[in-house]
Amino acid sequence: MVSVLKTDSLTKVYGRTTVVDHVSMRIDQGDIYGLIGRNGAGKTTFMKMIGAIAAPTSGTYEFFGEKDNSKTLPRIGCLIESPSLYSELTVYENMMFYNKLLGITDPRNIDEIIDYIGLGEAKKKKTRKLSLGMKQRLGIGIALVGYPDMLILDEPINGLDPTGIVDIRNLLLKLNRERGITLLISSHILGELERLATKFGVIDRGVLVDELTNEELLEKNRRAVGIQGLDPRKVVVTLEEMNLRDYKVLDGGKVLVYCDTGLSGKINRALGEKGMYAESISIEGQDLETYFVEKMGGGTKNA
Amino acid sequence: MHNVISAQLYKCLRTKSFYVLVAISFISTLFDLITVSVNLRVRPEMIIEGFDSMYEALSGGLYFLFIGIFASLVFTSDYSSQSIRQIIGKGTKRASYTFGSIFTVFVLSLVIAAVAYVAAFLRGTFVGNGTGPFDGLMILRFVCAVLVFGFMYVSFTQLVANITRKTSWTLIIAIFTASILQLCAFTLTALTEKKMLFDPITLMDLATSTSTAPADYLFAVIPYFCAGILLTCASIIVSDRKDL
Repeated sequence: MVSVLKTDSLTKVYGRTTVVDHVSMRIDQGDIYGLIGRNGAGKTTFMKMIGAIAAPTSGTYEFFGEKDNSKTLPRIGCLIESPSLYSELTVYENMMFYNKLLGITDPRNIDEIIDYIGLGEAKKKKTRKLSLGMKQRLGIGIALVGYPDMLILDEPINGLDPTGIVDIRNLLLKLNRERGITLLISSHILGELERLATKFGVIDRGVLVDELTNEELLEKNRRAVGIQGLDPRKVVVTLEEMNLRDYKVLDGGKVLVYCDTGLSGKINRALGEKGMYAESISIEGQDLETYFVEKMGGGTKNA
Repeated sequence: MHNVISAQLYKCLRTKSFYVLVAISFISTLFDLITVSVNLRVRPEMIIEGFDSMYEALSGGLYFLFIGIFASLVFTSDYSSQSIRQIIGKGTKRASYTFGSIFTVFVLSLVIAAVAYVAAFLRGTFVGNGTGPFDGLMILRFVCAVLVFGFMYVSFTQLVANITRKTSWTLIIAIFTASILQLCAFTLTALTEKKMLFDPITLMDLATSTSTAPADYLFAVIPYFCAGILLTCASIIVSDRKDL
C-alpha cells in the first residue's frame, strides 16, 4: 500500500495544554479515514497541523513520502471547521479565485467541479445566498480545485439536514471510488462515519488511543448471542444439534453464537432441556457509537 | 507570488468596495469645486490651476483614508472569510501571500488615488485658471511621493490586519493613524514651524516646492520607502508566527 500521510509523534502545545499528544498515524492511498473524538479532543488541531495552517510543537508529518510540504500541499485539499468563502463573490468566482491561486489557466475544470458537486444551477449565485448544504458542497469543491489526491475534511456534515448529509456522503464516496481520492474525515455523526470510513482512529485528550479497520469494526458489530457460565464443549454440542454452526468460544469460556438474536430464547430452552442453566445469555455486538463510548470510558455519546 | 497577485486582483475587481471607493474618490474631489468657485468669487485675484489642485489633493489626505479603508477591507476579508486557511493550505507561502496582497492593494490604491488626482486636475483646470505650467520633474517627484506614501500606508494596514485579523479594528486603526498623523503634523508645524516625518503634508511640500534640493527630497522620500519595507517584513514575521 502506498502511504499518503504519515505522522510521527505529532504534538501541539498551547501554553500549558497539550492539545495533540504524539500522534503517529498512517493513511494509505484510497483509504477513507474517520477521525473520532470528543469536542476539544484535538481533531481539528491535528488537521490544522497537517493542513499547514498551524505549526507543530514537535514531531513530523509527510505526504506521499515527502516532508517538504510546499511540494505536497497543492496535492491536498482541506475543509477545516467551515467553508472559506468570499460572500461577495459568486460560486464560480470563489472557485476561480483558487484556480488562479494555483496558477491554473484553463477555467474549464471549474465548470467540471461545479457540475460534479451539483452546484451547476447555483453557479452565478452569491455565496451569501447559499444554503448551509450548498456552502458545504462548495467548500468541498474549493478543496477539489487543482485535483488533489487527498482531502482533509473537518466535520463536513455538521449542521446539515438528512438530505444534505446523504448528498455529501454520496459525493465523498463518489470522489473516493471514481477519482481514487484518499479522505481524512472527522465527524460527530458516528453512524454516518461508519457508512463512509474504511479505517477509524479514536483520539482522546490529544492521544490517538485506538485505530481499527472497517473489517475489525464489522467483526465487533456482528450481532451474536453470548452464553456465559457453562461448559463450552457441552454448549457447542447443543448448538450443533440446533444446526447453529457459526459460533466462537472466547477465552474464559464464553460462547458467541452468530445468528438471529431472536433465537436467544430458543437456545436458552434447548440448553435448559439438557439441564444446563446459563449464568447469563446476552445480546453481543457493537456499532461505532457503542464502541466509541466504551473506548472513551462510557458516559457520553458526544464525539 | 504572481499567482497570489492574479488571484487577489481577480477578487478585488469583482467586489463592490473597490468601485464604490473609486466613485467616492472621484465625486468627493469634483464636488470640492464648490469651495474653489467660492474662493474665486471672494478673492478673484486668487490663481487656481490644474496642476496645483492636483498637488494639493495629496495634502488633503482624504485619499489616504480611502486607501486605508480599501486596504483594510481587502486584507481582513481573507481572515473574516477564513479564506486565508485555504490560501495557505493550497501551498502558498506566507511571505508570497503578504507580498502579493500588498502589491495588489498598492496598485489598486494607486488607481483610487489617480482618479482623485485626475478629478482635482480637471476641477482646477476648468473652474480655475487653466492647467498651469507643466513641470515634468515636479510631476515625477509628486508621483514618487504618492508611491512611497501609498506603499508605507498599505504595508502598515497589512501589518495591522495580520495582528488584529478583524475588519473593524483594522479600519479604526488605519483611519485613526492617517488622521492623527495629519493632526500632529498640522499642530507641530503651527507651533514650532518644524515639519514632521511620515506625514503627507510635509512630503507634499517637499515634493512640490521648487526650492527643495534633490538631496532634501530624497532624504524625505527614502524613510517612507524603508518604513514600507520594514512594515512588510514585520507583516511576514507576524503572519509566520501565528496559527490560522
